[in-house]
Amino acid sequence: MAVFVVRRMGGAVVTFLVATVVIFTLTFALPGDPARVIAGRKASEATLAAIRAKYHLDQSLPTQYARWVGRLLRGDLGESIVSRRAVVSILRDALPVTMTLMAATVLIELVLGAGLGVLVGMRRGGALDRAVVVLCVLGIASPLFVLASLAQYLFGVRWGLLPVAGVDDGLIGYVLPSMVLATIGGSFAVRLMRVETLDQLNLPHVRTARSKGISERQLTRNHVARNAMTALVTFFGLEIGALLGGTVVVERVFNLAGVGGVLGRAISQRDNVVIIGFTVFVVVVYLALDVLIDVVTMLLDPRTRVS
Amino acid sequence: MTGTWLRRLLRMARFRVAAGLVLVVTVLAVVPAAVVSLSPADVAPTDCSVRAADGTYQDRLPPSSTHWFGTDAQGCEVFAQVVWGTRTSLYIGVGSGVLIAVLGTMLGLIAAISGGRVDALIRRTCDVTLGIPLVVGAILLLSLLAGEQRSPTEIMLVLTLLGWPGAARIARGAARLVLVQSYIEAARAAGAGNVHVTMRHVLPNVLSSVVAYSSLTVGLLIAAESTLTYLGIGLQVPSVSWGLMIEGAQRSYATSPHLIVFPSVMLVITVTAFVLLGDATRDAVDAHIQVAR
Repeated sequence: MAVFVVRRMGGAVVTFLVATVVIFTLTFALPGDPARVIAGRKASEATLAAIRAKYHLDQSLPTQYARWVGRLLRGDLGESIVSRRAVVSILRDALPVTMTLMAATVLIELVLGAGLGVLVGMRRGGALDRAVVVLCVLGIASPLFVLASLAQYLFGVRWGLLPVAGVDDGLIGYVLPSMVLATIGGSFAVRLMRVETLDQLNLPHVRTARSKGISERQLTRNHVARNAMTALVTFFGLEIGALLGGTVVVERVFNLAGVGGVLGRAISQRDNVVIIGFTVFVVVVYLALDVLIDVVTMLLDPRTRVS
Repeated sequence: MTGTWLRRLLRMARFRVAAGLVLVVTVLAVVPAAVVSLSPADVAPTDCSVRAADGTYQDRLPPSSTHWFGTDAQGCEVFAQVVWGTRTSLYIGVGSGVLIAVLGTMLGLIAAISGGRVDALIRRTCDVTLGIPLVVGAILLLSLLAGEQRSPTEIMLVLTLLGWPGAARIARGAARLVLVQSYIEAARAAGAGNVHVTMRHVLPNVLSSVVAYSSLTVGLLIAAESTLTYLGIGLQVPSVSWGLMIEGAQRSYATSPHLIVFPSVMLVITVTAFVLLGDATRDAVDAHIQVAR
């Protein structure tokens, strides 16, 4: 067990280092001179040289890389080209919004997957099942920005039911964004749990339980839903990475100042330091979750402990 | 053997609907001129005229018999733009989908057959790439690598670069299932080399899974392109794209909803068609694999 965890963490660290090399290389493939970006167009040669010395731009690439990773590990992601604020403090301000949004989204997806998914799986071929299958394909196929605009138009402009921008009015502002963000992942979760449920129903011990006259409710709760849950845990490990990508779109449309919203603004302002810093953060979160999910899966299902 | 899942697929109602839609969209993309008389130059928002010859304003007209989908803020035909936008979407979606399938299959097969360090290297690369959400990765690559003007081809290549690991994982997994079969051992014992085993036994079995995955991916890539364009990191004017149309109509969606509705509906229909096609294919392939076992 401990060996497994350590080995998985070691793997994640290697992956992280490779990712930093890639991101660092990309940064230096940038057209343009970083010193000039910092100093501005009209800066003199002397100013440029001073900036190069200050930011160690005059040293060799491996040295610069080592310095960059060293700063990363100490939690220093540089400072924004536009606002001059430390990227870490921008991130700290943006994080609560995104975490609230993602928590609400994961909750919706969980309810959809474990509830609706199992329900239609138990009633395969019925009217509800067929409707849900079609809706799931539509949910996967509708781009978030289309759904977000549509939701804004219907709930905000047409019916005036819910706030469509910002979270100044408190948690109610998260209702529409999280519903929109949950459509794609929720559809995948429902499909996954539906298939898992169908698979579980075919297993010998479930068939035996059924032939012995167990009630449908007991069957669902004790035999089917519980074992199908493992798949949902694995699903959320990958899903949270995708959700971080989705927040860029949803937070932009609904004007939320979370990780995605800030990243979206950094794109339009060409603030590469912020773009890189936030991307590194997203990768780290993803890798950490990946390890965590593997450990949780192992605790839930002893069979996977054999490596 | 391969014929069985194809025959099963052709019988599926879902597949027929999806294939019909894909066919229509493909025709629009290949010969848009057959449907709309305007050339792409007339479609580009920069070249449209707000005023007609008789001096009346033609901007943001609601749908009518002369302008089926109405006109946009520049007085351009929305219908013509929606039709020409199909070409852009399919060029990027199908282009990167095919490249992803080819690259992914090659690398997945190499990983499965070589094993050891090569396998570990390819798997690790997949992990790193898949560790970055597609949209975030594309934002990073496009903002760092591409210049101010981004062409459809550049976007296609960036999506390919980020998308191949998915296909490689599928191909590797499918290949490993085949490689442990006893007939492979028999073929090897009979003196078959890596190339023979791959081409004759592994590839045909891997291909069906990759094809199913790729169709789904084409749909998601089309959605990704329009999303990137909408975020301002994808295509720009004078390209004609649904993402650009929707982005441009953002400010007037309360007064002229038709500017958003038509490209959005077209986008959702197109993505749905490819996702449904991939779904049906995967189900047919899965059922076939289960029967074969």
